[in-house]
Amino acid sequence: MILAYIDPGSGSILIQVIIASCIGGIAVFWSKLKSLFTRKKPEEAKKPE
Amino acid sequence: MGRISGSFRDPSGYVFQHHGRIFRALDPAATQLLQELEDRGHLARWTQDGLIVGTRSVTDSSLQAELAADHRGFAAFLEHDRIEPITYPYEWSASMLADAGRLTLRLQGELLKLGLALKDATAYNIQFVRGRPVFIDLTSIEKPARLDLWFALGQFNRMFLYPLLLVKHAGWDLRSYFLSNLDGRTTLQVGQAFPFRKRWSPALILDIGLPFALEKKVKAGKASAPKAPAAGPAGAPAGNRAVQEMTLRRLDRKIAKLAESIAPETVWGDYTQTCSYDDAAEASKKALVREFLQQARPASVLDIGCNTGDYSRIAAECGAHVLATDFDIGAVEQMYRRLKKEPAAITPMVVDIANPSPGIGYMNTERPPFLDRARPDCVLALAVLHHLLVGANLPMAAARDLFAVLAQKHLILEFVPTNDVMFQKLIEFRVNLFDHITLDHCLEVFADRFTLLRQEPIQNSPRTLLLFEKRR
Repeated sequence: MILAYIDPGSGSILIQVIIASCIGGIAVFWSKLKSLFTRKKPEEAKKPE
Repeated sequence: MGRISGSFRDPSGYVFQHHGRIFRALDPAATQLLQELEDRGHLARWTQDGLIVGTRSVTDSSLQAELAADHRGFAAFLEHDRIEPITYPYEWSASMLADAGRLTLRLQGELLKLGLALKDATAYNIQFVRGRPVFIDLTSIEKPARLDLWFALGQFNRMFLYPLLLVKHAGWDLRSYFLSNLDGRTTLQVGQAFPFRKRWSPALILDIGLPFALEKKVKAGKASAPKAPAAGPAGAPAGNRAVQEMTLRRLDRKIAKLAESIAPETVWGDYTQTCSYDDAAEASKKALVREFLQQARPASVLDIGCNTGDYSRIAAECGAHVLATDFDIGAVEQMYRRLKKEPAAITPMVVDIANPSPGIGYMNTERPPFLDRARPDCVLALAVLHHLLVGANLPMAAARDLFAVLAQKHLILEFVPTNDVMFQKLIEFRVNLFDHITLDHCLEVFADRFTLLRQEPIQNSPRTLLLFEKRR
């Protein structure tokens, strides 16, 4: 649950969460797409996004 | 105690006056956080860069003990540079609000790099010094639970983005936006000001269209605030900060563009081009104003009806701190834009002197009225008296009393007779109630509260410049 000092505005928080998850999704998709075309090196595969 | 009346919402500290100096009491958590920022040189750097008001911790042990005795429960204190006068967002022009918002975003960006955040984003955390915005509320810095979201973004929108959008697209003014609600307007209120197609247009979809639709769903009970994990392992903030950085950059670009596109439409903005006097009259008036100011030697000046600020600049050159006011938003906007290019000791402000800002907030003292904040040594009232008499229908004695309340020592007054071109313009289509307005009548009425020191005609014009001293 999100607790803020001021009224965060439910719409503003929700839209940020949506944007954050979209970007997360795109990042995952992109890394999967990249892994299709590039050969995996062990240290690269471990690197966090 | 000297506690500042608007400083009470945040339990982590408050601001107070002590022998004319400004201090902030800090609770242990805020002390630790701000001490760390000071030790690592961030506070000094942000002061240097004009991000925050000049700030240092109180290290003198006897002063510290004195403050701690006065303020029970607090052991640590910061001192801030004194800012005068204090202005509020309902007294700013659009560019001033935009720059205050962009400063908030810049500071939030800096904090984000350190894993910190602003816990609120109210426009009242910003003040103007020499025409530049600075952030004043340091206890607003906190360690957030998440870095990808900014919890104060909703308030940022209510305080900065929504009013600018309403000014641009719906003809609002900041005074009507801010005076009735300390926290700005809600997404639901603002969304209704835009027709459906506008809300969902590319320019507004992210900031109004979607938040409006989501908030309506929440209100109807069809959605709830997300149950995102509050913090990562071991209390470290969760989430990727790059996501928030993207939002901050987008908002900064948007606000900069908005401010740029709000053209200063003005009643008097082109007054300097169309006013009645010629170059000789203007030169004569400028020389006389300078002469009177040098005689009065005020530390602070209130310029009423400052227009684009030519005379405010003269007062600043004479060594005074100038509060430059005009009821015309466009004129203040132009003055502010010029001030950004050529800084001076001038604070611009949108104020209708016949209807100045009231006290608002808790007990009506949280944001004190204009008349309590403006106590200048000298009032500069050039070409403004006839506006009060005709535009606001004030009797001469009422105008005199207003100036006597404001001015602590001197009044520089320009008298505009009824046969002046600008006076004639004002009384077009009006029943002529103004024949009795003569220089003699003015001098007679003002003599009750003021002593006349100088009286000089302005060359090539029917006007007279007067220097008064307030009677004790």
